[in-house]
Amino acid sequence: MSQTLHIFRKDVRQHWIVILLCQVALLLYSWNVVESWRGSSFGPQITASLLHLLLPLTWIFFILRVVQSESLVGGRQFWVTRPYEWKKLLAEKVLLVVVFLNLPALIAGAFLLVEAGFSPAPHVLGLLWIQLLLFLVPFLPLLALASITRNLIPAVVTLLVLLFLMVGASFLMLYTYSSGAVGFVGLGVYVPHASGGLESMALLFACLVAVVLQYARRRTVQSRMWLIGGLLAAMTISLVSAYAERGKDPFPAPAKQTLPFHAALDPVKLTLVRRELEKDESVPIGIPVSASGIPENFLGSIHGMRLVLEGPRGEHWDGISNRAAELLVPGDNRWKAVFQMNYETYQRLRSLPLKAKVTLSVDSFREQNFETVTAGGGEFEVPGIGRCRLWRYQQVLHCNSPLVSAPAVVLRLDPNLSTCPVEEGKQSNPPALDGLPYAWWPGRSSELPEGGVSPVASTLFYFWNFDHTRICPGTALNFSFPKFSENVRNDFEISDFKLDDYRRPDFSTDGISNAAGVKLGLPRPPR
Amino acid sequence: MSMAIHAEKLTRKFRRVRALDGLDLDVPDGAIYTLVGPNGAGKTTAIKILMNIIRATSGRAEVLNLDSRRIAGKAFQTIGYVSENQELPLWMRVGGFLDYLRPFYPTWDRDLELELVRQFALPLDRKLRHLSRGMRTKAALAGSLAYHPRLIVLDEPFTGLDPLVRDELIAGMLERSAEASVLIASHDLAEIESFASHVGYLDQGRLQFSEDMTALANRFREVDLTLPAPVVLPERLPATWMQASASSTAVQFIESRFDQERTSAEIRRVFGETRSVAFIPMSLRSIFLAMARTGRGPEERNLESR
Repeated sequence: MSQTLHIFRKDVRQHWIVILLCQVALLLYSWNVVESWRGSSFGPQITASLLHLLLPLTWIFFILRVVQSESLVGGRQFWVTRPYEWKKLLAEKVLLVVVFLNLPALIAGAFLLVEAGFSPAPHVLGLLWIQLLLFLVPFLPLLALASITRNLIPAVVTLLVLLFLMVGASFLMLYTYSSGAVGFVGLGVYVPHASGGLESMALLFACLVAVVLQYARRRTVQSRMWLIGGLLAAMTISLVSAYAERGKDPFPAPAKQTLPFHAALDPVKLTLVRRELEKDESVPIGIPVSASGIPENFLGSIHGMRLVLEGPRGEHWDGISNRAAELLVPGDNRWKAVFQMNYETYQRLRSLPLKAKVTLSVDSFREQNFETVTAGGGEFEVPGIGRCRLWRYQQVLHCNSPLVSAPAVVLRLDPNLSTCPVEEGKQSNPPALDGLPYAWWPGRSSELPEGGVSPVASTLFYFWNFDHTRICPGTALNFSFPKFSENVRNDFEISDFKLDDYRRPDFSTDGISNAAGVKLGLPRPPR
Repeated sequence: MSMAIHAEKLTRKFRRVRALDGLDLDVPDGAIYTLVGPNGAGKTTAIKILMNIIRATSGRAEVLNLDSRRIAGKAFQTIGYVSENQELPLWMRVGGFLDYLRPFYPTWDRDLELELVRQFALPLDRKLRHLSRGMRTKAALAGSLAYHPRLIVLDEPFTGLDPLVRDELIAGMLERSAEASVLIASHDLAEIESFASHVGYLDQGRLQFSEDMTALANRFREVDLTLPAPVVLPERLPATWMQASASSTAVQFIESRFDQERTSAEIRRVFGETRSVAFIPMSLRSIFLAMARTGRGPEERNLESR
């Protein structure tokens, strides 16, 4: 331990400027996060982005510098022939990272919780969990990188190569997954993953082995091989996983379906676009859908929609779309499901008589736990969520929660009870609406905090399809916390499908409407 | 005799190049062993293997009775290593450097440290970055001698140093050599002659010979003869005579197994009566040149000397 502390003191003396830089970057980052909660940021947006970039950059610089001050690559370093014990040297480097990166990040996390209006005491375990995640990613891989490179230049070059490799692997993964379709499904499409985090574990294990091997024996070539092997293993697992999912139904039919949910092609006359398409332009295809069967006190959240087109000579196209921001309500719902098709595919298929198969996957939620909260002028508490404030011209409600984001939440507003003054020159008559405008948050994906510095999870409630909806201080906010009930699915087919008949005007945003074409809101909450 | 260093058939390949080719080396306890040879002969590679900085492709070595592959951590508490290529923490001041090293060694002698600082005239408040090459080597040597190491290993420590600094370093090292074995790698024959107890000549990765310096100096003599009448050298001369030449009544050769009685008897047998005989001791450099010219050692072009 004394040797560990002795080297530690030396490194602090040597790297105090980098240590200071890390703390300043963390301070600026935390300040910017707090400012962002208030709907503003520290200076212009570009400055805020740079501040968010500065923190990881200083972390990378710190880890590379402290590890490479006792470089493990080469044989000219004076320390190699001094009585350094490798376990103590490794412990010292870990101690440096924990003391100067994790501990300040822990303190910053506690500070952010306090700033967000939460006491850190009940969340100590969560804060420690975040630090453990932070140590595993990115600190451990950075330690591994620093231990196999001699100085900053090869380390930075390796980092850049890795960055390009990761981007390339993402494209390859997406291509592998979507290669079953004629059309490329496009970036931003979620590639289903069956690996269960195995690739991350393979990479972390390789990093751990490389670090230990390098400190214990300074076997640079072997350590590099381990890291390259780990990287290749992770990429292979991802690609194999994507390949395994290729061709599989992304929205498998549930084993048991109790709701009488039904979806069909809506025989509504579409507004079609006639302008000439430009090459490489993405072509929006709109399928009018009607859906019914959501019972009273239930809501349906569209999990995903799939359109499969098949041509007479075996042509095939597969597309996915979702409308996660909108809800299906009891009764008849009508909307247009939009799929993006690339230009070449569109040109190839447009004149063919196609068979279209539409799949609609919906998560049903039972509405419960209704809560009415009056919006405050500043920050106000919403039970079950955290602390909220009005944001950006009062069209968005920004809520902070400790450690994890909010569970599934529906927020309704009654325009008749709005406390907002009518602005001059603005449209005073709200559009035809059946029910109340709402904002919908489908809920957190995990009960465990995610990685990062901030333990404050933000949730934004937007009134996507209700342009004139505003919240002002004194407005009653009706929250409910729906509970997931079951996943339901319905398929329908369209024979003699002609693509040109379903080409939609660009940028049109149709909300979910009823049979009369009136935009659908939610029923009033029970009193 | 116990050995501070014992190596058997050490071989190290760098891709297709054999930097070391079956090196057998014995450094007796208490010896000041100088490993000489031209640049690229494999001296640094041998020392790096002995210090476990790099691994041998094959062969084995023991340093202070410890397998060289296990030399790490605490094993360096009894070994002092200084190399011309060593990267020192240049951001440290000399005093800070010595302060930093001190806790690593239980046998660190503060009085000896102060003595070395004084002897080498080290400026404690100057950063290593701002020191000359010679002063840096002195600082490194002070940091490698102050804990009474049992083995001192120096890899080309005097390269590029002015004679004054070199003499100071040698003096500092010799004062400590009574309690330690010393292995020095050098390509400079002149600098080691004054203090080495043993010498080994390494060339193209092979040890050409290894010998006690006194024995080496004693067995080589330059012999000058004056004969009563002009002479032609006989075809068959004793095998231990090297570079024999004759000019009228004068004959010269180098005796590589000098023994005054035996050599005198050989001279009488070959030439009969002589007017005068002179046995002249040779410098290390002259010995190496003689061996090189007769194909028994290094080539002249590889030898450097001031």
